[in-house]
Amino acid sequence: MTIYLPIADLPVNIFLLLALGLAVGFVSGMFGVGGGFLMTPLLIFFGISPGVSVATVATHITASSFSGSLSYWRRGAVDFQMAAALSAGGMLGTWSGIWIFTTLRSVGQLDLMISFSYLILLTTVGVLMVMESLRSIMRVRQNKPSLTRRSGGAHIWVHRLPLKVRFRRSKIYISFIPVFGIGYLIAVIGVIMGIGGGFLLVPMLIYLLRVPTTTVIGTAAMLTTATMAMATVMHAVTSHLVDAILALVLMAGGVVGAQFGARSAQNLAPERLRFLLGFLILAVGFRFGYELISTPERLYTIRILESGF
Amino acid sequence: MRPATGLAAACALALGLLWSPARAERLITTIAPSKISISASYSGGYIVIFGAIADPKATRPSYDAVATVIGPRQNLLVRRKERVLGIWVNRSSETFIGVPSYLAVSANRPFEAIAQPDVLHYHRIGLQHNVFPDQSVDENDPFQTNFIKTRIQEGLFVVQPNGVTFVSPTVFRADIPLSNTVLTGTYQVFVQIFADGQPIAEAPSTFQVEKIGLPQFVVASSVNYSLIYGLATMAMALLTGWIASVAFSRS
Repeated sequence: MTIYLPIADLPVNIFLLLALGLAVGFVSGMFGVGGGFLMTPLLIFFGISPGVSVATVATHITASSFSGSLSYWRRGAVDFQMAAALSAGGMLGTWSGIWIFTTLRSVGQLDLMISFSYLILLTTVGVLMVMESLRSIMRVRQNKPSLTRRSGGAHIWVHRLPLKVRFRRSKIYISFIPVFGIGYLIAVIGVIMGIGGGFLLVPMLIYLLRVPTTTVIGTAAMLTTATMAMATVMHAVTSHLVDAILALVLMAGGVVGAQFGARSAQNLAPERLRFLLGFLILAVGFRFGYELISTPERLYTIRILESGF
Repeated sequence: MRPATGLAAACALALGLLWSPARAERLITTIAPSKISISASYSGGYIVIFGAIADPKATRPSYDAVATVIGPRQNLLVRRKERVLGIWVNRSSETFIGVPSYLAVSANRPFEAIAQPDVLHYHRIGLQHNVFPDQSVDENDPFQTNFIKTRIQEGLFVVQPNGVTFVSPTVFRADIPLSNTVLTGTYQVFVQIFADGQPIAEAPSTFQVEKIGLPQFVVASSVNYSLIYGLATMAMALLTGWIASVAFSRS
């Protein structure tokens, strides 16, 4: 059964889209990430234009991250104070990201920029994750105790910044500046690339801000909800590229898939999960790298400047 | 002879021709359907052009028919990727003005068999004379040739040298495929008949492509009420997330 996507201007098999949503949702539930880094490339691969893909995936991530934040909220695992501080940066970041997105689109380098950012970001994060998780797996094999993340009172430059605020739920006392900055950075990257940025945000919160593992994922999901909800509205207003029908089908599959993913993850050790996720991220990154250097199928691309007269 | 007298003479001649028993052939066409509707289940379609030659002349050995369908026009930028430091980047580009978003050319036999090249050029028969409003395609321009190749692959440019079928010596039909990505708007149809390599009659007409139902509603609201559309889409996402978290936390 095909359904006509009104904004993407394309008929697509509805079951294929639902399956895509389910599969990406499964992965996102399994690893506790939004899955945007998989969804956006897959939509582009299916022939939906990068612009529509990025804008529509923002809507999809809004749904999946909101569903996630609500379940963490019920368990009391959200630091609302920190989520608010992150979101303040996130709002500004979304605005900047939309501006960069629109500018790149008008000068015709949006597709290249999306491919390039995916390559750099995903291969870097993928390599780091795979290496880190391999080390953890080795340590578990040799029955050595895992390294404690909170290395005592070790202070890095982040902790010397002024404007310190006490985040009660996370029990940390830290400057507002890096919290705001991280929110800003993740939002800019997220808006341009069509990702929630959870796989970047969570490590940053843990390693830079020392947010405890009890609140980190719930708080990250809250920020992602805020930035992606805003990105949805801003993409809709500035570029008219959000396809509501596409988003609805994707998120319907996505939220269901996420539940199964979360359940199947319970039987896997965390370091193995990180290894698998790192491997997946790396694979997507390499795919983009291959696309940049291999001779494209079509050297000539067509962009519509003005239509319908 | 003064111009006014000349004009009067020409009129008289025209009138005389109309009333003379040996009238010229006329072409009558109709299109079905007269409206293509893109609904939520649209996945491409066909239009069929029917044509009949009225008052045929027995002296003609046979007739040829050519159908040209031109969709709403676009201004386009065609870019070429070039290798820079090992990476493929969009470098040079060419702008095309007033190019049909959809173009179909059909005939009952190959165009070059119907008339001489200069006749085809003058009467704008065939793909290469219809892509640009004021010039023919330059076969040496890679931007133009690659653009056309892409459009043909996408099904937006259609060339059917045997797309017109004569049901009888004077009645024909042309089946024109419309790809699933056609734009909405007015499509112009030109049907011409040829005999002995010369055009003898033509009939222009139009049909509409429009979005109806859900696609129409979504597109119209996303453009005309973009803020409300954005907020509604966001609300839909939050609602879906909420429903999912409630539904699955109970189980």
